[in-house]
Amino acid sequence: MKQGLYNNFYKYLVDSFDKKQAALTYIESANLTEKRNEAFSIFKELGFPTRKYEEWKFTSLAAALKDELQLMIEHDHSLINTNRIHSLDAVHLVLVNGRFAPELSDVLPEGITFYDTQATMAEIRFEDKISTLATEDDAPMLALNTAFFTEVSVLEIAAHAIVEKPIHVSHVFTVNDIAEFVPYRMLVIAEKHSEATIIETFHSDSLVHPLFVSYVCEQEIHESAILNTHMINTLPENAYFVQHREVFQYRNSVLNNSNIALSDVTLLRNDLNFQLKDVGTETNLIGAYILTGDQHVDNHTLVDHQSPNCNTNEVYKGILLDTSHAVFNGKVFVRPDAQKTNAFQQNNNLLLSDQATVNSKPQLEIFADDVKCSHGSTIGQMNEDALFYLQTRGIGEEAARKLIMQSFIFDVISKIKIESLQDYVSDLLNKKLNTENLTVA
Amino acid sequence: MSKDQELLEELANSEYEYGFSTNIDTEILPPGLNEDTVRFISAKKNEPVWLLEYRLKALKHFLTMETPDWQNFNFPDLNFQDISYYAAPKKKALASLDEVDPELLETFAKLGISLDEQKMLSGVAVDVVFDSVSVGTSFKGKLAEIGVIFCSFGEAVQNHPELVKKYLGTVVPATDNLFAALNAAVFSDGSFAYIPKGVRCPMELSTYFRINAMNSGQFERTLLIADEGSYVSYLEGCTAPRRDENQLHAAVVELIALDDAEIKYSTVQNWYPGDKDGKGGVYNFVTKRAIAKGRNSKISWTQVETGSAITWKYPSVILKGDHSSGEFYSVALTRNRQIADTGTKMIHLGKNTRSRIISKGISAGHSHNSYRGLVSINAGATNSRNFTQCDSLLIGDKCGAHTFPYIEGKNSSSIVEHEATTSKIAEDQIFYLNQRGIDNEKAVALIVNGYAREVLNKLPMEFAVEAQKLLAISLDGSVG
Repeated sequence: MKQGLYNNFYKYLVDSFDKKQAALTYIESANLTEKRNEAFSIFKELGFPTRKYEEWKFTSLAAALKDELQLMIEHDHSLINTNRIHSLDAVHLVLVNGRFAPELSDVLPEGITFYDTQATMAEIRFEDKISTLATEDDAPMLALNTAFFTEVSVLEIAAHAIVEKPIHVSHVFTVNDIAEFVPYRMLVIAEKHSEATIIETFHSDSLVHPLFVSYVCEQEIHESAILNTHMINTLPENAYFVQHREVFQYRNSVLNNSNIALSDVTLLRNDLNFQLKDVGTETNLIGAYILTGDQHVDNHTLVDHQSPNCNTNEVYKGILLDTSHAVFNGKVFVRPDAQKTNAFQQNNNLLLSDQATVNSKPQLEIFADDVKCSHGSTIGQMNEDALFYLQTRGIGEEAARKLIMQSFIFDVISKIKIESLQDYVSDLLNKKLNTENLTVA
Repeated sequence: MSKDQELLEELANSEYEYGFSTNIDTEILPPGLNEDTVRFISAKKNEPVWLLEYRLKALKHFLTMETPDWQNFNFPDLNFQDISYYAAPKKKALASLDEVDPELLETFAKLGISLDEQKMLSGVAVDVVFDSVSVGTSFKGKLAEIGVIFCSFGEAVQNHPELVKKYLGTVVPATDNLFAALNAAVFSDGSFAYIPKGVRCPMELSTYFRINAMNSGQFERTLLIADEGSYVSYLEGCTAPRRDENQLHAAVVELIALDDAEIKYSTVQNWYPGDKDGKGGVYNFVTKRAIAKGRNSKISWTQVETGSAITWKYPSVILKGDHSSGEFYSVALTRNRQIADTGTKMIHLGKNTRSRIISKGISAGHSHNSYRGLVSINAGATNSRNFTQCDSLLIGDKCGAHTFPYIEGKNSSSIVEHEATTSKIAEDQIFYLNQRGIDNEKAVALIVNGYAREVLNKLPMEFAVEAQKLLAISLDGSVG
């Protein structure tokens, strides 16, 4: 039963697949070519996902997949804003439209290696890793990326390396005068006993023409490694961002991930999958979103407990205004052997507009008995008592509302351990809350 | 752990107590489903033309439908042409219990629900549905005095066609889902109740369903209407005789509550669950839906599900009237190879509507127990409130517990809360009871009973006893 969307952009992509393969500037392994072909046939069959797919039940891409979209071509980026976070003492790596820009990037410290597209393709070790972690037969958007990505980079943290400075990977996109589609991907390998922090920001200056980004990130976190990842979206209106992230965690590894959407991005879809491959892992996921106007943010997380003694903790909080739409789908899967699992999940929403919609689906699928799993989900409003209390202290109603919203989100961002990054995110929060259209509610 | 294993085995092996079948001559339609089948059923029941047309329309739609694929289990291999769609005991239209087949009475006696006893002791009016035609109805006179209509669906079609015509299919349209369409086409009989304005039904209305004839899927239709300001409590319980062949039970229940009316609907379901390898057992695919149509109306579903190979139903409430409220209390216990995919939908449409969902799942053996629910607060349902709690208890490491809650909020004055937990029985609870001299088996029974108490308490007295018995039977031999 075909339920996909087969629009003009689909036809354009199908037509350009062969041409694109020929135009690649590097020689890729036969392995990868085969994967691309497989992925292409999946995409060709399924088309773009529609709301008839369970995983896309609440998110429609129809408006985003404009007819005039084209695959991104070369662009001059000499004047680009690299979105450096000034207060943050970090090593800066810039990817422009998914391609590494060495002239804009810092020198990497010891213990960490970056491979750009050419280097990645030349490195035989990565051959069987690229597009191997993230594979799903029924995920058309992932298949689309696998079939069409041209840029791919690898960030490798050496075994036993403790990288103290955070690595700021700045994903920036050029502003162009046509509607463009950018598929690219990245692989992160944290070797045994390593420790590092990766901050990813996604940025573009304001857009006139739509920008559709498809980003796939695969991560391997090996034994006893600690990896802190932050995803901060600062994309403007007219940007459509679809991310698929596949994380493999091995014995006693720790992953802390934060997912911040306080921007004006038009559509954001995150598929974050965490596969707990070996015992004793820890996974902490936090997320925050404030949506205004017609924004649509959809976070799908899947924590797949495949081994015993793993802990996961997930908190996502969001505020909705205007005609925005938030979707949260948090799946926790506990396999038969994954005894002694602790999994906690929470999603809180402040729904402050009658035209906004929240769809929350915290889902548990449990096949082992010695587990502690719980989830909670709420949709509600501001506490009137809190509001009243603040007003009795001489704080105006509007200011009081903002204060409450701020503290609601701050609850999540206060978990970001790097102080200067926390400040940066707080600034984004304040900026978002200080736009004019927030006086309502 | 070996002790646990032993106990688990015992639990898994305990046989279905109510597995026996009764020999009564039944008139059976040969298996098969087509327009003629529907015409035959309709003619047999002397139905008016509009009802036949309703059935035919449903059949037409049914034949175009595909089997669903979203459920959390493999769709069983059902051939709708292999089912016999009509079976009726030959002796019909009995005026009093004395005329009822003694064998039938004995069946009920075995189940501990002897009609006489119930009539005498509890004052419950029992409308017995044996296979497809109602053969005994009690307390009818008493109810008629205060204007309550409580009869078989067939009788209602004959005697109160205007009510049936007005409400049939208004809550569960014939096109709603595969099994609702099937039911609408071939429903044989069922129960009908109408509570007039301002009447508080003085007794619990109750029906015992029982599948009996070989291969005759049972397609019950229940329609309950509570007019303005009335109250009714309805009990439904099922036990099925042992069979090695799967039996399909696709009932439709529709409840309608008008202004200020209240309907309380309780179910204890114990169809034959199949043997320990999952062979046989009843497929319980039921569509139950209520509409709280009027202001201040109230609907309450309570269910205790321990039987059936597959239980697949979502008793739902459409909260249409302002200030209306809906409740759903459920205990679902699965063991061996049983599957339960159950839950509820609360559709908030009216202002100031409230709903509460308490679901307790218990899985043992190789069973899988899913809660699937929808709470939808529409834009117009201002100041609405929902609270949902769904807990799962796992007994043994081969079973599964799953929750699929869909939560949707569309206005800025409503509050929705959902929480769910999954765990096994805590060691320290067992230990505490052990040190008070209570052995493992009893301790587990006690804890499970306490776990389900919140729901069992919602059942009317008559049912609470049976429900506790059922849980006890299911935990017989108990677990570690």
